[in-house]
Amino acid sequence: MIFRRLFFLVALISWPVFSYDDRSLTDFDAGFDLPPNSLEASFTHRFYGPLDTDGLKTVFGLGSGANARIKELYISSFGLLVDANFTTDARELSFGAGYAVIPKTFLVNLLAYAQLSSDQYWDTTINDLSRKGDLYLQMVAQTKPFLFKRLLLTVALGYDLNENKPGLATGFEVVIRDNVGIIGELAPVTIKKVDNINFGNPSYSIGARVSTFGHQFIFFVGNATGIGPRKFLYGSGDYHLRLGFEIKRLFNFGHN
Amino acid sequence: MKKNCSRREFCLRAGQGALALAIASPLLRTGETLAKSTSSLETVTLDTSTNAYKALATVGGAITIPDPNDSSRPAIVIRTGTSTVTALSSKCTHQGCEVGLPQSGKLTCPCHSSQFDETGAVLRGPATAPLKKYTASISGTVITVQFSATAVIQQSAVQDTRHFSLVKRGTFVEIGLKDGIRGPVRMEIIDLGGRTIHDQIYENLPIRWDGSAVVKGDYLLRIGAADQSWMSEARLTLP
Repeated sequence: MIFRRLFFLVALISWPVFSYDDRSLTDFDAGFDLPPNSLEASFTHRFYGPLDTDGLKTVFGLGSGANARIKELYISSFGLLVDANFTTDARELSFGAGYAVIPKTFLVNLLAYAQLSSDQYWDTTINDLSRKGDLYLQMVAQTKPFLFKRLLLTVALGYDLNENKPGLATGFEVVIRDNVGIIGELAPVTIKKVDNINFGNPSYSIGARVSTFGHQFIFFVGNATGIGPRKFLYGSGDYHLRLGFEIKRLFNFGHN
Repeated sequence: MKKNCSRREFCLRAGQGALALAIASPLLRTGETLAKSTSSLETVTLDTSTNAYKALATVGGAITIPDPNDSSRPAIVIRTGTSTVTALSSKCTHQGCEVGLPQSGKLTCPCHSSQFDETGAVLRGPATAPLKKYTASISGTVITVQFSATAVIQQSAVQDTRHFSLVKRGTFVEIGLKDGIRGPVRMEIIDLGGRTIHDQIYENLPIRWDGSAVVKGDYLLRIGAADQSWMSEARLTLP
């Protein structure tokens, strides 16, 4: 019985027919392959508790609470991307818009992106939670698959107008098969100063992406607890491993 | 032998458990507000020789007491040494959950595992700011906790004018003493951040003070005898 179920699961995961391409990284959107006139809904989770230090006390970080994001990304027919996000950490509300340039003959695709956000924070002047707005600008360059169509590289340059500082992230995807890939991202230049508690150290994550039946499932480990490009570029307070996952669903209004 | 339970049975049991928890949780929460204290407007005194506060008689002991700043979350008082004590707000600076009493010197937020030391400093995120700290001291067996002026100002009912009369004309304030009360008096005006913006001893009464140079808003007006034999506080709103 168990083998039958396992076989069914493997068959399901490796079935490429209904899978869809989205070569975005965990935090950096690069939806160059998404079909026009479609909506991608995603749910992302990053657990706060370190996997490697808390051990069974927090079930390897799972029992320590998590940062979660709900995101809707719409791709228009002329390369415009708009997104709306709610992230539980800092009760962050953000709205973004980007424009994708996909040259047919050039190896690299480009995405210019701007995001308006509102974060909750602890205001020490009133000793209570308050809100502040932020504007974040970003340019993403992602190669088309090369090296036997097995590798994609991504570079993202972000600028936070509140912090008045840029950050830089790099990423990759190794294509295992059409619907399975290994993805990773690293922010060696962070926006926030090092405070050794929450931000400042380079953040990284590495995981696996599986696409099937209009869904994508991404499982990853990384040191950051922030979700999204701006928060990822803020850096992490440490280098401990934390679990995370993302589930995406594509609604293609053009080809149902 | 392990008994398998069906999905229906599992859902039923889970539902029953959730219902029992929902009924029990308000009952469990009543324990938080049992601590009683003798409180003047912003000062709380706790006698560690009494049963209610005996946990604070030993180093490492900690209790919760009502926090005038926050009716939904208590303040935490910690005996950090033989002659030292700390008082902190239990409101986590990440998302406002209530942090627990210290375990091995660390206060942990149950929501997202932020950790603070006994001075309120952040040890581990996601919180980025320290816990709000109150002034606390110990003398013999008596611990005194002073809550900030913000707490008093935010209590709209606080108008303790037993000792003085207050007349306001715009930003101009006139303060006279009630019958039988003599000067000299000390007048302090404290803003919401706890900063003293005016502190002066007046020999001649009534006091006439012009607040036009001060940013409009709510302040704590504290009038007391220069020899500290009495003190009254009231909210002062400057237009």
